[in-house]
Amino acid sequence: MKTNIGDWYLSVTENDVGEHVEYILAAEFDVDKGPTVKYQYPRRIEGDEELLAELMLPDQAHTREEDWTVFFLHKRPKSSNVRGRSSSREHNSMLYALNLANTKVTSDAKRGAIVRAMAICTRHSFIQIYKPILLLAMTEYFDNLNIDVLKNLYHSLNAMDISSMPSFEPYEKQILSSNSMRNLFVERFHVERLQPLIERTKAVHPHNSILSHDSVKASLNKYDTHFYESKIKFNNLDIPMRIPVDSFPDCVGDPSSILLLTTILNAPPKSFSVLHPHLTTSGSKTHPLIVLINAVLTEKRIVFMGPGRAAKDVVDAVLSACSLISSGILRGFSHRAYPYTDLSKIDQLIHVPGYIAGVTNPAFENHPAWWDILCNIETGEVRISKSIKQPERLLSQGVALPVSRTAVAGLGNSPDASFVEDIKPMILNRYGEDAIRGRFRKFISQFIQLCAAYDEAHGVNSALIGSRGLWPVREHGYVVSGHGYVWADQQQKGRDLNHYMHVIEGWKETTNYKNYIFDLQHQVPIPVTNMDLQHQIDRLRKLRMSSSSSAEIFNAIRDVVVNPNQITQLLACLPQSEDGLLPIAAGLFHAHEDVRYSAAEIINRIRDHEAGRHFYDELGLFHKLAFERLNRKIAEADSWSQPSWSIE
Amino acid sequence: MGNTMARLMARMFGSREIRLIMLGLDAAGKTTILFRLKLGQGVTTIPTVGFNVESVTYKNVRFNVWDVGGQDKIRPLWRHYYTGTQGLIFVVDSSDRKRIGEAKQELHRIISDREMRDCLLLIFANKQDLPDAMKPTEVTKELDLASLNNRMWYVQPSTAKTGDGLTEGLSWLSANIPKETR
Repeated sequence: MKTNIGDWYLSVTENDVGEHVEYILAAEFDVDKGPTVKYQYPRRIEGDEELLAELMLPDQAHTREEDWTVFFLHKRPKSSNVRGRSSSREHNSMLYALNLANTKVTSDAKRGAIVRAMAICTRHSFIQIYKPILLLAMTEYFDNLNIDVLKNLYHSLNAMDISSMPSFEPYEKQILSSNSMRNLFVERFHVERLQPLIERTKAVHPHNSILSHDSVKASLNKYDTHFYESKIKFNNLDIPMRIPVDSFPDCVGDPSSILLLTTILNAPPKSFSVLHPHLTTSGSKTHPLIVLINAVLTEKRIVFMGPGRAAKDVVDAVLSACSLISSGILRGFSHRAYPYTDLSKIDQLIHVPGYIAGVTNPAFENHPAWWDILCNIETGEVRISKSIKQPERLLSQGVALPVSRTAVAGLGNSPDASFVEDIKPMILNRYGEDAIRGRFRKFISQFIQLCAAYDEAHGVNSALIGSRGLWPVREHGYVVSGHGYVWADQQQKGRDLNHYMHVIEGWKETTNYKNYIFDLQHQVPIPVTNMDLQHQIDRLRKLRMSSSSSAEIFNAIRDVVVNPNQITQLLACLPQSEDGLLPIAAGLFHAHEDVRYSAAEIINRIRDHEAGRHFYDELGLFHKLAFERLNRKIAEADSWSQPSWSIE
Repeated sequence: MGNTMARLMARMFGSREIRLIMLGLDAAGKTTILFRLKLGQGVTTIPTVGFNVESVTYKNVRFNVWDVGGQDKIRPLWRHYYTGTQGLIFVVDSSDRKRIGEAKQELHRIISDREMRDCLLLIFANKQDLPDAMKPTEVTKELDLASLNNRMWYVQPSTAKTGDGLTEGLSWLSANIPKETR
């Protein structure tokens, strides 16, 4: 029996054809035999067909007309002697399966009902786009129990044309996913109708956003550049497909995380009787949401259980957890995720380190040896197993940083506590999924910065720091000093690092940490190398600064952030959820005149940038007027052919 | 805390909770029994994919009944339900003489599991309304219950469709399950 991570149950042979969809499967609950795979097109999947059939026919499928599950197939490389899998291709080697199970009660059938399922196995993580077409195919399949339905579906799906879908660099993707402006990067989309209009208005209004042009505005408003629009022809129907362009490998489907978070936050308060250094950072009173996040980060075995719920509900919980904790920054969670599973796979599942599984069967509750964390999505309760393995050695360094006791009392919340304090009202006031995801992304990137700061403070030889790390060791060539996480003072820093000590240590043992380091070392060169842009923006946001130190920041950005790629990086530090351009725009009212001009110049560059102009549009009138006034003065000074406008 | 309170209340007012698992070959009538007990009326059932679980209160005893699908492919999964189970309800289609041998084999496999060594065994000789249905004595013989040592067992004739015999079975269970199970 193979017990390697991920590929323990079904493996498909790698094929080089770049198809969207590689398999269509159909299964049936046979009243005499149980779950059975009925058809597979275009070829059979090697491996245990029974396991496959059980994934497709979830527990209690007979009690509901319709249910959905998601499962993953792991590819075995063509030459079977190659066992090593480089982490970079981890996700290319996965197939994502979207499965629909239907139950029809009919007196024609033996024992009164037919339970059938059909699954689409695709290379794309955005499986949600296939839901409508799968429903249609299923309806047809119930009328016509024939492999031709699968064949027809397979060919329709693979005929989808995405050749003109734009691709985006990491910072661009980050901008797209953390900002809701509908027309970001619209120039990259070859929307036939729009292209001539865009060109024409760009010629007429080189500085003004094309959005301000009424006719363009009307056409563009219908178009959301977070999606690429294509279509599929199925049985003479044109089915529109909206493909998210900012998705990342661990964002599978389009899970609603709000439901899961609401349930956990509304659960009656409890104290944990089992403690674990990686999980309960604030002892028995640690917030359950934090325990869950720490569990995913440090790769504990996690079960999301929904007794009596549809399989699709637990699938949603698992996919949400993967997507939220990944935030597009970390990866590898979906690789060990089993969005829906049942008892038939339990003997293999429990040996997968750090699995994240969704189950509807309450029997899991009675087996604490099977999991480390059990999250009941019905009650919101998060439980730590009494048989969870405690870490063998506590720490490699083991020493907490000195923090004076008297100082601790006066300190603010730790980052995890303030995270919970932020999320609570967001859920209560029904913020959208984007805002929630944005807050998680901030939390995860903060966590990584904390880790790097921890390594630095403890003098650890760390892959997070250095020329290929988050910041160079000695700030070599920096025009403005400072890097990493921003703390108000050293006491707070020491307290936070001590607070996170065990989670950080736990995280470093994980696969997602190794993936992160791999990505860090293989990333494309960062456009801005002579300052830590994120750090300086965070200082502007978080600290009360003297006007001379903020002046230093604005002038440095003016000098360093010049070309489009550098501006893209700057914009990635300025998401909508953190007030967009405001930290920069505040500089328009700085006490020093030269800083006001610096800020104006930075904003001027942003306004001319393909994504930046949408950020500029979001700015309030007050700031816009201030900017234009300064900008006019710059123009006047230029026309007087002054060598520099900054002369008093 | 709340749990302790509930347990205390339960002890004071004499209500108890019993965890049962109901197994048997496919189409024996397990789901029909479950819903007959739960709802007090007959329902038309369809094959169970996976399991059903319901709690039924009868004479102050809360029965937590797990009804697990019976097709031969999924029978290996039964063992995952054994932990903490106090009683096994094994349902036999008394009219299915062809498969009574298969039923016997499955039954003996279940109760030989270590986790099931202390549990009570109630057998519903179901579908008594059908012509040529085996009587309890015959079922007892066919299932070779006489060979069981150190096991409390009882065969109850039943007709799930009408509900005949079901409550008698539960009475036997609640009378014989030790008062303090811990």
